[in-house]
Amino acid sequence: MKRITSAIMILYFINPEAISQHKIFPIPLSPRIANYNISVTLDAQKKMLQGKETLIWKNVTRDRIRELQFHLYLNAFKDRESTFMKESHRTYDDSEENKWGWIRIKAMSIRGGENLTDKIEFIHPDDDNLQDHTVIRVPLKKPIKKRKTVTVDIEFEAQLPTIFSRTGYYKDFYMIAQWFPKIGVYEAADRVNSKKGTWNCHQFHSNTEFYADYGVYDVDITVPQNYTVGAVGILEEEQKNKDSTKTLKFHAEDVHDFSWTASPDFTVVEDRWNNVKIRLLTQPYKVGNISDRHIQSAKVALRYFHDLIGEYPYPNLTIVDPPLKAINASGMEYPTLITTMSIWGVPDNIKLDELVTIHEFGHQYWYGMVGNNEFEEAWLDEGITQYYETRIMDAEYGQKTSFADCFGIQVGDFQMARSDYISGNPKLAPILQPAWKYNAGGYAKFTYAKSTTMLTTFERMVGRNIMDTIMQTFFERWKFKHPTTKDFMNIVNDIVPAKLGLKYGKNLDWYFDQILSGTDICDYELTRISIFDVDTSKEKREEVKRKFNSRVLVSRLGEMKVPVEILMKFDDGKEIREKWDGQARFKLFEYSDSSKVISAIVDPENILAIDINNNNNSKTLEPSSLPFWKYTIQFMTFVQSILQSVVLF
Amino acid sequence: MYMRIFRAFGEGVRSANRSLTIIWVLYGLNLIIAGVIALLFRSTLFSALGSSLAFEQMLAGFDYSVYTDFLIKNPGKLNIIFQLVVWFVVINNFISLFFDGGIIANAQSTEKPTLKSFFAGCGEFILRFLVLFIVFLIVAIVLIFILGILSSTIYQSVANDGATEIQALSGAGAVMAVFIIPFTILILINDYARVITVANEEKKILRAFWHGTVFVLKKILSTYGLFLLCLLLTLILIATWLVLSIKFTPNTTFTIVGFFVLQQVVVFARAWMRVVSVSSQMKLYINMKSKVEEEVQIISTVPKSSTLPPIETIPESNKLIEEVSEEKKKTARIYIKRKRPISRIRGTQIKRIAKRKG
Repeated sequence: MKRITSAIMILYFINPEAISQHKIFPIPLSPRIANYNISVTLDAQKKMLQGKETLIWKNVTRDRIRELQFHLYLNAFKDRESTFMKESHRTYDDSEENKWGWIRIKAMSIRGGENLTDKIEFIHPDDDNLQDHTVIRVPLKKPIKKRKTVTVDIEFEAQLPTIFSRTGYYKDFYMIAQWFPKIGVYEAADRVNSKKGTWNCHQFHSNTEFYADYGVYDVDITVPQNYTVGAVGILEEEQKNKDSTKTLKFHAEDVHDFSWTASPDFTVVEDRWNNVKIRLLTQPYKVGNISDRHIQSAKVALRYFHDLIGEYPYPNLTIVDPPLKAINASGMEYPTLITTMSIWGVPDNIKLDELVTIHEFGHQYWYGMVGNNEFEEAWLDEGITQYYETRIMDAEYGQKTSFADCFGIQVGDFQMARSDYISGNPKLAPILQPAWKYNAGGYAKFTYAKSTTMLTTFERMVGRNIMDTIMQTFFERWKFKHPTTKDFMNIVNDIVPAKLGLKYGKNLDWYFDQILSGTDICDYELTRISIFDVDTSKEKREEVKRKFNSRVLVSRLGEMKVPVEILMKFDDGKEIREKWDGQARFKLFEYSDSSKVISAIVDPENILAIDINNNNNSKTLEPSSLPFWKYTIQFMTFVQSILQSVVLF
Repeated sequence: MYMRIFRAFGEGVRSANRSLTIIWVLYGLNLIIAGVIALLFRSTLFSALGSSLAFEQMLAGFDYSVYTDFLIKNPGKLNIIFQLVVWFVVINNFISLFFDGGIIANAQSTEKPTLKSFFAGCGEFILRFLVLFIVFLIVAIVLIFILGILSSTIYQSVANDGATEIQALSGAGAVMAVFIIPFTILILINDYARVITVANEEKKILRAFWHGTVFVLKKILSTYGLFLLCLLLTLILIATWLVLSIKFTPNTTFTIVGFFVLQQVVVFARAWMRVVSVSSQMKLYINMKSKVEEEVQIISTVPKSSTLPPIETIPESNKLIEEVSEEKKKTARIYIKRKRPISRIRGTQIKRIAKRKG
């Protein structure tokens, strides 16, 4: 008893918030730097929010912080001049159907201290766009000393936009994300390799997502009484008010964002996986097959991540399936809340619902718990998440059929991801660059597709067991700590040499540097097999023994250099495997034997998924014409059918 | 009405069965065109993947990676082939127009058609059918324009705001129905205009089109019913082809050849179905014409130079409905309803059986 009391006393002095917030986790999972108490009312007529926010923010660095920086993400939708709208290249005009949105701080002050309202200043750390109002700085008369906490009271109002990207409304459906003034991340000096720390608070770009510190959220949401609400965290209390509204109190711990959804048309479907309560908010006509698919795939994801990575610590998972016309709110992740996607009428053997649900759940681990900076190193979240999505989909639904198995066309999820990478211009940009620097289409191609292909290739190189060890270590070591690519690489370089010796050198920087920081492509080709008949009649007169000189030429067509294996097959059934470091432009293998090489394959185990052309990896001197005739005949009957069907006159 | 439809269909089937040579021609041409394109396709595939082991994976089934790697590395090659397909579809439409003349002409004949009579019919009516097509095209464009204006209103009224997939699909379905029904009727009008052109030896195309329109609209249940019956059977054949293609994965020489034969049976059946469809339309038209044909029995062929018995000696019951002009009486040629001189009809014994109205 005395020990427990002492522990509690110690805990109190270290972290006064800890005792008062022992609601979900007895021991905090994260540093709980940015803690919010927010009270918000939704005006369903005007589509506006009126909010009061108390931010309790801790300076965990040694610096004296002289200003605060906040994100005002909703201002990205205030007009066409914002950085977000300019970069999105989509047309959006204010009309009956499309409404702009914004957020305005009505008052801001330090509790018991200065009034900051008039000191708010818009800044543009990423570009010169003075019309962009998504970041503010607020200078402080009295700096925040190291290890000290500041309480900031903010009053704000927001006009919700019609859903253009992730947040807003469609009729009575609301998906409310990035809706409150959100403090940026102050990064310590050692983090930024500088003498002094700095604010990491980027503008909201078309290609960027989010980055924030962990904390505790207590949010009171007031909505009309007939609305069903889903939110991050757990519902603690629901209270009906006299003015036909109700107030719901949500509490979330060790999360870095808070979003919520409301609609009078939701149907709620509940289920459970172990200790996790799953709550699906869906459209009434999707209850049945579609809702079952979402729930089942969420359970698949929970199980896989629990087995492969670690425990999902939160007690709940909310899944939102937005209506058709709010589809721009689909496919998004928030801590303990995800928005999925489904299209009624799409057959079950096109696994779109499962793909999105599994993908968005995967974010709970990387975006949600590891919490990297999505502005600057988006691949650490999106790439790793999609890697696991393809892995789980292929394991659960078949490598060649995990996305579609329809009318004879089979498509695997990883196959699709890889083809996204290799199509178009795979040399367009490196993976490792700020997300807003990608040109149109580049963000998805490199952050998702190329990263997934890179990780899958890496897994095939080192083996699944070692890959799992790396990812488990990365998760356990860096959860709630905002790691960078360098932190990931350090783990790779610790584990791989320890497990595999010098098989891939002292470290794997040579591999990741080429792919993460470079734009080189990988393309190995089995260029030629040449057979020369060697006349041995003079050598042995007793028996004329035929001898062949077989030459196999392998070429490196791409700039990326990776060690490869080549498998040679001889006509007497013999096989020879050769290794090549893949550095030179080509390598010639020569054999002098009574049997000749009839076929050869570069990368016979298909380790190099990142090779942009697997079709040129092999050659045979005895090609089979059967597959060609099969598809020629199929094509012919297809053309015959078209000729008979398309008769217009 | 059902009896009429099935009767016409039955007669169309009999006519098609008599015209197997024609069906072989249709099928053969289809096979040749598709075969040429397919050989080009094979050549393209082989030049890109001929000696690669990767394509052998496709023998076991479709492989998306092999397929996409091929497409990405050979972007223009398949486009050329698909463009060729489009061109051949257009050419095939004109060939189809050409053949329809022969099919329809043979459908009205009770004799077993020969290739010569078939191609004679094709040649005789091609220009008229081309003009008819232009008329059809103009009307179709006007119809698209009118329906296009209405489609937005139709969509809104059915789909409401299309907030759900069901509403959006219902709206799209309503728009499609609004387009499909008038368009199928227009296609029927075109078809029967052709039938009338052949049946009545109509040289005035606008009149043929007008008569076609009147006929189809007056007998809409029968004409549309016959169309739906033929469509249903064609769809069954297409579905059979699709199911075969999806369910079976041939991967040996025996199964590939066997599968090919099965598919060609379906293609042949569709060619047969086309002749059935066109012949049935002719039969339906003949059966449902408002004018009555008298039974005309001709005992022997009448050489041009010979004299015929005067028309007054012809029994009352055999008199033609149509008035025969004095001038024509003098020439002692007997014109049957189709105004075709007897000398153009071969054979020694010809019986024409007419139906009385009502």
